[in-house]
Amino acid sequence: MQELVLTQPGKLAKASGGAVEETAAPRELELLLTENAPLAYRVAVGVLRNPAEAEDVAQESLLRAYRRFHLLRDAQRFRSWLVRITFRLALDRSRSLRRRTERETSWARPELRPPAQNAEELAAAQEFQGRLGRALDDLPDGQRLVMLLTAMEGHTVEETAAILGVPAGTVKSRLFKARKRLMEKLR
Amino acid sequence: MNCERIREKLIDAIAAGEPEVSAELAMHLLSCDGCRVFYETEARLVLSMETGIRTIVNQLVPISLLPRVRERLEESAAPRKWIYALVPVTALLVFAALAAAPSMRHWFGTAEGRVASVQNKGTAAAKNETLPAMRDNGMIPSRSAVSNSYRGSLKAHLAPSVKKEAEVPEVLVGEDELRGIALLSSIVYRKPEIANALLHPIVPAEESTQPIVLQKIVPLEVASLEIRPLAEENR
Repeated sequence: MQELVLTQPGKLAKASGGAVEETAAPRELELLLTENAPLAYRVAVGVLRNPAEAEDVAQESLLRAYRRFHLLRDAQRFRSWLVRITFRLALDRSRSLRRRTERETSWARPELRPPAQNAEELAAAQEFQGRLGRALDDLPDGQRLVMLLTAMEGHTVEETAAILGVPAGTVKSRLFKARKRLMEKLR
Repeated sequence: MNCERIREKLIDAIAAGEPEVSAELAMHLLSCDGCRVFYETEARLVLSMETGIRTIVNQLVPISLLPRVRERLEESAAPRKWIYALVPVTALLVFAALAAAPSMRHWFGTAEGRVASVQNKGTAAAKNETLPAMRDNGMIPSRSAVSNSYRGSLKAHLAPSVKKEAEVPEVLVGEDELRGIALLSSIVYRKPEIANALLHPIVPAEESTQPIVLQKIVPLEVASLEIRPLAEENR
């Protein structure tokens, strides 16, 4: 992974709760950002399903995390904090993109679009991905985030629970409900 | 067990991510082709679903992500330096504005100030017509002749608001009054007995027990009193 050298020194919390120490140097923050940048990007792309938009949102969330790191009382929860920032930003972006798309393509009816020229399987796969994306969009936020995080490489239920700061049982419960909803929509 | 209940349990098992179904369900799947097909279809659906989601979220992270974050941080830091450089310039401008403020008072003053300014212009003509002429005739002494004590007592009687607005108190009178005051002062100067008559009540000679002491009338100019016609005020 590439090195991130950030020139702006971060303001660090004078831990009112004693969680974050003054010694949490900007270097440490840089490392945290470097380590978690892929996580931010993947959460964003999971919501937006558009690499360019996801990169933009991930950048924004990393910038916010960098600038507001001093507000974080517990540095151990940085991953959870970053995921939540990214998820919120991605949801906001997704909604605005959807509104824009609806506005710009309201004249075009799906049945009027030309049929797919590719192989049937590819068309079917694309169609399935489209339906899957829409079904994901309709999930409640908590279930959606759990689905995305557990689908990421190397994320077990326990790790997802640690990231979100919830019990593993809660993650399992949300996963169960999310899968059932998706199955109903995609069946 | 009917197939509908079995299918509900199969869906729950798949949604829970259980790798294997219970023995009871397995027995039913062996004996029921419909439920077995249903189970395989649902399991394939969940597999496709999860594969689809993994495909979405496990995309390669763009190499440009972190360098762009760094660039944006530098960009956001740059304007601050520029703003800091402007501080001395801004301070100079503020000082210059403060220094120029008195001369700009006419343009940027309060509405009352502007009205007073207009009134000053209007009354200047009247003042030029009367007071210098009287001064030339010796009817009014020079400003230096007016005692400081009189000025002090005059100011003490003025309203506080007037004191705040100007060092020189203002008294507004009508044009007729202006002329009247000028005429009266000239007459009083020339004939002090008229002034005494004005200052003392008229008592019949047979009733008076004490002789009337005539006061000495000295020429007086209220230097700090500006006489303005009321007509200006109504504009």
